[in-house]
Amino acid sequence: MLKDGILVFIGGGIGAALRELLMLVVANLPGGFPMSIFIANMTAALLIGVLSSLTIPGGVIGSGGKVLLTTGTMGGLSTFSSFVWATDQMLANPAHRLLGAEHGCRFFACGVGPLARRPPVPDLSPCGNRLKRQSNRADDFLSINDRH
Amino acid sequence: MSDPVTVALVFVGGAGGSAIRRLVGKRVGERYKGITFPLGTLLISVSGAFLMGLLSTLFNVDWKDRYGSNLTALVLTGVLGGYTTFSTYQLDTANLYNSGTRGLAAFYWIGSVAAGLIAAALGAITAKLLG
Repeated sequence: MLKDGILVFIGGGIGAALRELLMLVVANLPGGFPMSIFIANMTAALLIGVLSSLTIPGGVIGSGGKVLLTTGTMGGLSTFSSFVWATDQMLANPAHRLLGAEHGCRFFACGVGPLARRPPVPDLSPCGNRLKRQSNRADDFLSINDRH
Repeated sequence: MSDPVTVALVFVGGAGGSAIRRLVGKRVGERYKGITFPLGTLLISVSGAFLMGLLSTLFNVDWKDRYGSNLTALVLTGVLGGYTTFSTYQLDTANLYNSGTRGLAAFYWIGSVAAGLIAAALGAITAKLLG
């Protein structure tokens, strides 16, 4: 458990540092749309979906790697607080209100990458049943409250 | 202030914030074990948004230029950025959707953003009341 904590600490640090590098390199759009945060969040949302599919039991990445990369790096790379705060600020400024609404909607709508992450499991018996059982185990492994 | 210093501060803050996120998520997950709704992530999102509104206003930070000082790099970009997460929020939504609870997924998806926007605004109001 302590090992997991250390892995999240390291992974989170790396993710946050990557986000800071993006902030230093990528300029905001006119009106202040925080393009760097947008890129960080979209990349992390997509990659956490891909990584979660690779980290099922018997998958490419083990449980330590899962904690390091998903809870740690992707969690550190993405941020919710900057996203809502920037939206609030844009909405509060009459000149940027439209952009703020667009910003909110764009974040909102584009973060659905993980939705497509799990392909439907073909039901080909007897092999199909085995695949189905594996899929259920994957669901157990990824139980929602287990992972942040 | 040089860029390497900023990046190092964000690394340290982000590492700490991520570790706190894991602890909060774990505690909430253990306490409400039977619940499929991602309460932990929601709590993290809302509390992080409140603190971002509060501290940004208290520090008097221009929201378009948050990498202005060592303190903002460490606390706002680092700790709060690492503490809150957008990726897990989206993954939770996807998991809820894939597990068949689509109404709950939609509620969580929209509710998190609405609650976050309100929490950040309340944070800013609280900061103004404080001084």
